[in-house]
Amino acid sequence: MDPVLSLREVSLSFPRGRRHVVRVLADVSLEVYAGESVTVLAQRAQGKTSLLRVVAGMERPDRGSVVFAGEDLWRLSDRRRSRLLGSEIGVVELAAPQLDVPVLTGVALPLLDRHGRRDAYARAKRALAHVGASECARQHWGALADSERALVALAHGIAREPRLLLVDDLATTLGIEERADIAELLGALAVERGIAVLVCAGGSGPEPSSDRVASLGGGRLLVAPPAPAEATNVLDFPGEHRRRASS
Amino acid sequence: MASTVQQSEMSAGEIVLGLLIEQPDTCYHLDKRIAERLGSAQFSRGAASRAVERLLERRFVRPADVEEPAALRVVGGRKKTVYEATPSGVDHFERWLRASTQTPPVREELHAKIALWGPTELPRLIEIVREAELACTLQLRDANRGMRADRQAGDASEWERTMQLIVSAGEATWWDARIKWLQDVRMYLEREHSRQQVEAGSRRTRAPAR
Repeated sequence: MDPVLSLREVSLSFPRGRRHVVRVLADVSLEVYAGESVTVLAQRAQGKTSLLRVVAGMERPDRGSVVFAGEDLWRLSDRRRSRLLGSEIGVVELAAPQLDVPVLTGVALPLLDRHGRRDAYARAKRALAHVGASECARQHWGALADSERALVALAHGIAREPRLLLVDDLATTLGIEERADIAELLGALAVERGIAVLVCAGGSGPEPSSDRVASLGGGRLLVAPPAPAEATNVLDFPGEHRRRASS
Repeated sequence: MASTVQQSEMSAGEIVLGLLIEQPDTCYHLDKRIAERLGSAQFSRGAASRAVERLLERRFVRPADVEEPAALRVVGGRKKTVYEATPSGVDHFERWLRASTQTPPVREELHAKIALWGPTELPRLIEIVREAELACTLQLRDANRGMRADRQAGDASEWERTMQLIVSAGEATWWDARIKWLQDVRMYLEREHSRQQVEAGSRRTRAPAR
């Protein structure tokens, strides 16, 4: 089975003045398959959002390729790439909507250009029901609790039935139990709908959802192999190493 | 992690005692109950029987005057002793439960290595930190799995599920914090390493600036 998403040695840096560059991603490689969820752990300002933007085709990497469902995103036309972003690649982020409309309308709006009005609203309702946020349908964003906002953002992400779901720091402000709820939902989305889920998490506490956990820091992404040996005792003593090196 | 093991050995006795107060049991089955209640691999197999031995010495538990329930018996296996808590065991457990908890000291292999490592072998140290970071991501994944399993345990009561969630969330948070620390360490070392390389390069190729 081919991965839904495949990053190959992706590098991204931003210039700072004439002589410096900030290296955000350095030779990052990652594969995400249908039906699995992968969490990337990174601290603040360590390239979480850049990674998601690169994966979503919003940011062009300096080097390397981003392959979605067998297609190199940066060999597609801009038009085709931006259409993918609206349909097969879903992005979930906690941002207030630009229009102050009821939640249901907000979820349905982006669907209107591809589906009829009735169909769009039906899909939006289903998405809200799926995440357990039907009660929020008539509320406005401002009246929602953080945990409800996370659910509504998730409904936005899945309403278009994407193959790849990108989740940016959704649960940072939530408590243990609410985080576990979100995590369970994301896990279930991957398994039941066969979506490939990529979660970027940081800030406070673990993101308890994933089949795999990767660590992003200093531009480098450390990913354990998919079928890992139970390796916890991988350290050896410095002295031993010195002896070996000198012999 | 050495510190975790030490920690767990320390309270294994009390945990076993608490489980025996809930319900008299065999050592074999106690091992299983520990795993259920405390999540992933904190205790080795046989931890229960070692703990029971120590509890017997202190007269906190005694062999109970009951047969091993037929449902638990391993087919063809020999009969196993069922243990129960003594009144002084119950006393001790309740005092332990109410006493405030110590903060564990962080004394662990990697800390020692970093403290003792010289600056000359930076690449190898970076490699070790990366390996530790990867190992921790696997531990976090396992803790996460345990957490998911706890929430899906259908036969548990609301209270049991909540307590289990809190315990495994604690474990996951520990690994999460560990990963963050290792990320910091690795980034610092990598920066230091490239600084050293730049310095070495500039010493070879050019006169000092200005």
